[in-house]
Amino acid sequence: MTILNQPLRSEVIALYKQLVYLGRDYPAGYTNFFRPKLKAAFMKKRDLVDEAEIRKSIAFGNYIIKELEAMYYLKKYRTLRARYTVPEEDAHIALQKALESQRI
Amino acid sequence: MSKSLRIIVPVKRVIDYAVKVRVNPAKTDVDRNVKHSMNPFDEIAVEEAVRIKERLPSTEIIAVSCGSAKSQETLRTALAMGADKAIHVEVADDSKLQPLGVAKLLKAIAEEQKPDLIILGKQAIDDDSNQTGQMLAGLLNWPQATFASKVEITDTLAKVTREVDGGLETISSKLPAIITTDLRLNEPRYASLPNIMKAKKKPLTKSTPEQLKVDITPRLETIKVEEPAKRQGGKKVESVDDLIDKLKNEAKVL
Repeated sequence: MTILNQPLRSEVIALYKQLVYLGRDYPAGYTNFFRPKLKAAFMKKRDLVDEAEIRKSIAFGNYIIKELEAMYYLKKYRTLRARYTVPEEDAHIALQKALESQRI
Repeated sequence: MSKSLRIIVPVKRVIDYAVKVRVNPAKTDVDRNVKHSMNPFDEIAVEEAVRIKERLPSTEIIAVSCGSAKSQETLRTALAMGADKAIHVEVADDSKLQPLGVAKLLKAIAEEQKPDLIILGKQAIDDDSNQTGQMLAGLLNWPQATFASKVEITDTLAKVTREVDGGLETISSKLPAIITTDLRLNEPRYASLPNIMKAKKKPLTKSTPEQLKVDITPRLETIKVEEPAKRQGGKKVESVDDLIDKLKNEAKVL
């Protein structure tokens, strides 16, 4: 039987909630894809007792949060760029930035 | 920077960018019973205000949204991203709200709150009007810097790099001023769950067009909404002769 590590326990639950919240927007689907995977990932580590091990896993969870946020941002940015900018305009701005960086 | 800045950021609740928009059967509007979120250009505007606040901590950011009661969710998102307080102008049917009406409402709020800066998204991704910021600048008689891709705020000046046709233009303007954001201005942060929870404690005041003494009767009427024509599928041809025949007789390009 695991010894309940109270402060870490609440941290783990908070992490799970944050991931659930982020997962609702997951492109491949939440109910059929994200939630089962998330749950499996947490269940796999349910028997961890060593504090350092648990902290390492929480840190990994926080890293996943950052990755998800970055992915959502990139997806949104790319969709909007495709919808709202003319390709030549993009090229022109890239050229101007290149010229500016050379000047410096 | 001697005095503290006050920034108003208007935000709009729109159909989420990832949702495929469909026309309703009566062809009067699009189906609005789908996922909504904050207009992405407004997210960029909120982010820019928050970044100014991070440099000048005495800055106060006021998020404003005009629309149905559900607009409060959008305001909560803005508060979670870092706005200090929110004003919700309740309009029962926000599908009838038009840029001029919104600009008049924002003018009334600006006269009340006396901000130094108003940062708006250049356009909403639902009606794509790209008018509210410009109309608001006209109504308030304030300088405007539209399509901003870089913003620098100094004591009484705003230096804004704008994305114009075929290049970039840098202008400097006195405050108070109006800035509308372009896509490349910044990378908006994600409104995380803990921050959304904290945002519930931030003040949100309600107002109505009547209280602000603004007439928001629509000036434009939507006659018909239609989907773009479906693309016709391609077909295979048997031989070169067949291809030439089709180009001549069907496509009529030869």
